[in-house]
Amino acid sequence: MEIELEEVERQLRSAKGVPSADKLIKYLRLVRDLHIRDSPTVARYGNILLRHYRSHLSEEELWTVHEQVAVAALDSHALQFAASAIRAINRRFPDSNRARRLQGMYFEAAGDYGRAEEIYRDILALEPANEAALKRLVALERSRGNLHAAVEALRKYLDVFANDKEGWEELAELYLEALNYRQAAFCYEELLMHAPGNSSYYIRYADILYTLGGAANCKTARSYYAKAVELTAGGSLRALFGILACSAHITDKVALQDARSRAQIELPEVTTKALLRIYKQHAPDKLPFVEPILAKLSGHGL
Amino acid sequence: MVACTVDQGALLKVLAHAAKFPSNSVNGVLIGSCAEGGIVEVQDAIPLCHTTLSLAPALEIGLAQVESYTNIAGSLEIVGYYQSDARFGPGDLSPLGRKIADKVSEHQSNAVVLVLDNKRLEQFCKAQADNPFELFNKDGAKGWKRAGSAEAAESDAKLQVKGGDWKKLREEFFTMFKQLKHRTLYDFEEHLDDAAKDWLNKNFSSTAKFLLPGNAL
Repeated sequence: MEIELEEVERQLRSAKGVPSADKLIKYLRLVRDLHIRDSPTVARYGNILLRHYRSHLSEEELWTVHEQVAVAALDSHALQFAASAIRAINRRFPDSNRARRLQGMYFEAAGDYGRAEEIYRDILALEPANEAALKRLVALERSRGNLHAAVEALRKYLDVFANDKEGWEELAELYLEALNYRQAAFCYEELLMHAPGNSSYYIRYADILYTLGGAANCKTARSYYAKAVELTAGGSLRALFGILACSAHITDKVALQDARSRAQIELPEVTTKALLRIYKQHAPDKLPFVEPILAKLSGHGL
Repeated sequence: MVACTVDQGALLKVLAHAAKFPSNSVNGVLIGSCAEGGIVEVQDAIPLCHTTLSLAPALEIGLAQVESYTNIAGSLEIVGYYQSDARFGPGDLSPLGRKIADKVSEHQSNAVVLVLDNKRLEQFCKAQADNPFELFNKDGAKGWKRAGSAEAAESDAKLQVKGGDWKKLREEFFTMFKQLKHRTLYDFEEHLDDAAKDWLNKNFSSTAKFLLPGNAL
């Protein structure tokens, strides 16, 4: 689907005059499905679609596009344009919380955080578990620069919506910004439970443990990097470098008779070979920079 | 206080990095040379991270590769660090940024830090201000301090554009942005996710000079 998106984007860019309706519709659909965030482009093409081709859209898609374009316009700080889209949505759906949330987002984008908060709290007064309003409160605190308040608000949200993976990812991000690595690690432990096949979660978790430091954390991190290598069939530079970085910090004496310990000794060697292979194939110009690092990292430890 | 000149191409790369990831905090290292009088000459910027600045592995491996590069290139060294915050706020160096800057300054005691001030960047884009960057120097044990006083005019004197000027930088930035060229700039994290992506960005800036083994200048 990403390739389709690239293709239709290319076609839109090279179009002479006004691009065709079906290409615009396709572009906006792909962006929605892939959760891509390219707001200026979405705002531009969405604007053309709504101005010239309203009749091409079903009632449902028309308003989905309005919402998509409103959010993109807010993200691009095109406030006037956003306001007109939001007004149209509110006229069509006068009693909708979903529409009111867009009003709140408008005030957020305009920097009027007080007014935005009022709107969200009004929604929550009548509907205490309104997902969107709860999430906007987190975003609000982030914009205000109140990391701790954002964390608290997001924890409250996750108490109710514990299966929201993106919520846990965002909470981890907040903890990392606050340099609270232990809590960030806990978030990734949650994520790994939810999605045990996701290699990037293993890598992130290992990254956090490595950053925390200490031999015990490095040992655990190494095993998570190793799992990520398995899941990515040896193709992940992050995981491979991670193994070497961890091994360099683990300086236990190892009994050579033990098969598992022998594997530990061989691990840096095997990892180094894998890295060299990848660089030879995809980035040979970087080999002179990488070779001294690999020599240094695998020369340490065991 | 250390004075600092920065190659226009290097500044363009920093702006491109920030423009490519507008909702993220980004960072990178500055390479160049440090003259006898303590004037730091920044010749190039190497973008490092954009997903999170708080994790050690990408930063460590990135710094190590850049160090290898400067060792091989010979006349270059790591002379500084840059950071751009996701939030629309004044250009301050966050506690994490200070820690990373400390690590970078192990390479060069006169290391400089450039922080992109987003509010000034807005003015820069509207041609209401010249320099969107805040320059920091290390004041011994006191840590990182803004160069000069709080007045923009003073800090302008400390940070100078080489090979161009702020107006030319603005024009180049707009051209680059319109052509979506900032999307062809790759940082070290993107290289980690796809080895073929070149964190040296050899094809990005025509004004940058590279010294690779076997290549003539």
